[in-house]
Amino acid sequence: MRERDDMNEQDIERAAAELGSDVRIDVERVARRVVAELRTKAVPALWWRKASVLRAAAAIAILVTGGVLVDRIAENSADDAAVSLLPVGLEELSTTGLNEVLDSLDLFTPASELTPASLNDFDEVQLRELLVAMEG
Amino acid sequence: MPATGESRSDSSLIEAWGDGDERAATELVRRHAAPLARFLSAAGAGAGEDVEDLVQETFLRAFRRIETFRGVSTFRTWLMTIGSNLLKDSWRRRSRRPEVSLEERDIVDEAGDPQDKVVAGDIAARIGAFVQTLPRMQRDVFLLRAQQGVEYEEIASALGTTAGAARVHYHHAIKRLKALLD
Repeated sequence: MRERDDMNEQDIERAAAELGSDVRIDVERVARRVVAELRTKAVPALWWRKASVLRAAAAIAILVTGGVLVDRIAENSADDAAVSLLPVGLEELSTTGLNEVLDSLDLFTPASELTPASLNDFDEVQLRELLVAMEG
Repeated sequence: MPATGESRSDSSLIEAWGDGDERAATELVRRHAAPLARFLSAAGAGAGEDVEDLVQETFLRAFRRIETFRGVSTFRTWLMTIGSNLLKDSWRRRSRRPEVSLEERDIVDEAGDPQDKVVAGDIAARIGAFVQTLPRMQRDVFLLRAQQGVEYEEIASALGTTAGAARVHYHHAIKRLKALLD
């Protein structure tokens, strides 16, 4: 018979390995209850976790966000163009300034293919008339 | 030909349950319920219906959060950490840890001299009672290592600590148990 004060680590580990060995549960009953409970509550919660659903939701979110951004950028660009032209009177611009404005608008590339004239061929009056016509 | 439930790996069954396969969930319960019950009983869940209810609750929580299982420990060890959390919650709701009398613990030793059986049973019962008084981390590390045979590295991953710290917890538990038994 082993005395208690002889207890060492191995004895404790041996005894610990047997802890709970007297416990008996009905595993099949547990399995049935778990599955029944999952059927009523967990399964409806699982569908949205599927990768395909998440991917579709992400694609929709990107499309909507992208659409809103593009719309806002387009609105801002139109506003900026109007703002940059309106406060400055065309009469105040020199020929060089008018040329720069026209160049920045980049509207004459197709026309240059149709006519040999370039912006440098216009005099100041012609340039003013052109810009006024564009404003109108 | 698909593998039968018994021959499939845990990870395969977990994936199948993620797709809603109830047979996979059933097989996982069959595979791990008894060891989980032993662990929870030794940790202080008692016996009979109490431990069975706790085992059931542990599986439900695990299956409902299956996407959080990263495989850093085995599925069984993960279940045991969930069960330990539920046990703690249960005690908190009751605002106490269970009082365990040595007479209530009935550990059976099948082999050996009848007089040795009494002593062995007595020692096992005392250890069982003392284990439940250990701080939670020491208790979980001790049971996972001594009862379930889990390696320190896996214990550390499951409990969110390091292998070195798990060793220290284990040896503190042994030291404390020896002091209580002497």
